[in-house]
Amino acid sequence: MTSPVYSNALSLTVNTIVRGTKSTPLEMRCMFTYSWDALTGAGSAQLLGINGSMLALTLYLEPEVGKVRFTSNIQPTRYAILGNPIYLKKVVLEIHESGETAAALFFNTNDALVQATTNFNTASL
Amino acid sequence: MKFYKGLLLILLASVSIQCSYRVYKSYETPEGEIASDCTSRLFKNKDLTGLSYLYKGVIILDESGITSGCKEEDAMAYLKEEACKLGANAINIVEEAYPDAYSSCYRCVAGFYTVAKDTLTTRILNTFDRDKVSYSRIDGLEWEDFSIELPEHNSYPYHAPTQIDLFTEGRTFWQGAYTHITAHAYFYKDVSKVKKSYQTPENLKHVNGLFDLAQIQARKLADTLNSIPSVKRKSVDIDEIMGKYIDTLRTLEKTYQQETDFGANKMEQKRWAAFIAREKSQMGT
Repeated sequence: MTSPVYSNALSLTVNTIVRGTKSTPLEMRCMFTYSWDALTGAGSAQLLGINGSMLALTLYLEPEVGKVRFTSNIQPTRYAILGNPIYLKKVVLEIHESGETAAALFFNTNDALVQATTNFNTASL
Repeated sequence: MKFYKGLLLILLASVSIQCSYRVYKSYETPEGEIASDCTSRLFKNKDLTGLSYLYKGVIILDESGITSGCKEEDAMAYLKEEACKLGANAINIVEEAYPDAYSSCYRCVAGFYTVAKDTLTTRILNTFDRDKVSYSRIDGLEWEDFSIELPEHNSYPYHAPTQIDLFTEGRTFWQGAYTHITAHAYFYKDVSKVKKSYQTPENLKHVNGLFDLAQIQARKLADTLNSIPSVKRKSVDIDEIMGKYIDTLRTLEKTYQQETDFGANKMEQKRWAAFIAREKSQMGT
């Protein structure tokens, strides 16, 4: 990373249950874009879609030490993913200093079910 | 994938003198001197939906067979010069390819625009992503989704810009066909406007009808594109077809608003609601 502005499009598979119980985790291929200016600290991200169903959900920057974290600020909202309704409460995207990326999706109207990428640090939930 | 307008209207092929590109333009370059203070902003895949702009034309910089003078900086210098000749203040690169197994040149497709310099347009151009609502949101639009309040004396009660966008399995103009295509409707929150007095539950149904019309056209577009043999699904063809569906959508929107008188004509609103419901049920949306 040499440029002060980092932007990228990436696809992450969110398929590990990190909170709550469900017999089978949903396999969710999430497409994100993000942009972050290291000089001004400004940036935003977007969850473009899940499994080809487009959401265009804006995520806002929450600066943290050693990583950049983007979080949604929506009310629990129903979306159709491949025709199936899901309640999405919160979306988190993390870009670590090392370049590693991780994401988590909070479902339902509470935080009872959370799925994440396998590398997501659950201590930050 | 971004839609670049009018590409097939006039394709003028030429090999540029200044650089070694084969150049295709949808416009004729005006003669004359370039103003010394001419400047233009360069964007990549900037979504201009709902913004105030004048479209000037599109250009393709492709390899000519000569592999010198075709670096990215050569292309940028050429695009900026063309923008100045056209009187455009914005260049939007919608597709690009860096040197690869197919070519040792940087190649791109770019549109030229004169964009307004008002506060709203400038603010949106400076943001990374547009603030929009996807049709995947099951419960439709709410009045809170409209970000700007229109004055009560305004001649129309709302401005609800929608657009269709495509999601393709990641190939480009230079790499050949797309394998699978989905199309989707979006409502642009950041440029949406409504009068306070208009915000009733009945009128919300009217506005959601507009969003439904966009998604119906999106689904029809995707069905059409996916019915084309995959090897023929090139960007240029896709954009031409997409342009036709967007034109149809704009005509439908206008007719819907006129015939229903923005929802005030209850009889017409009911007729349109039945039409929309029928179309949605046929398409499983």
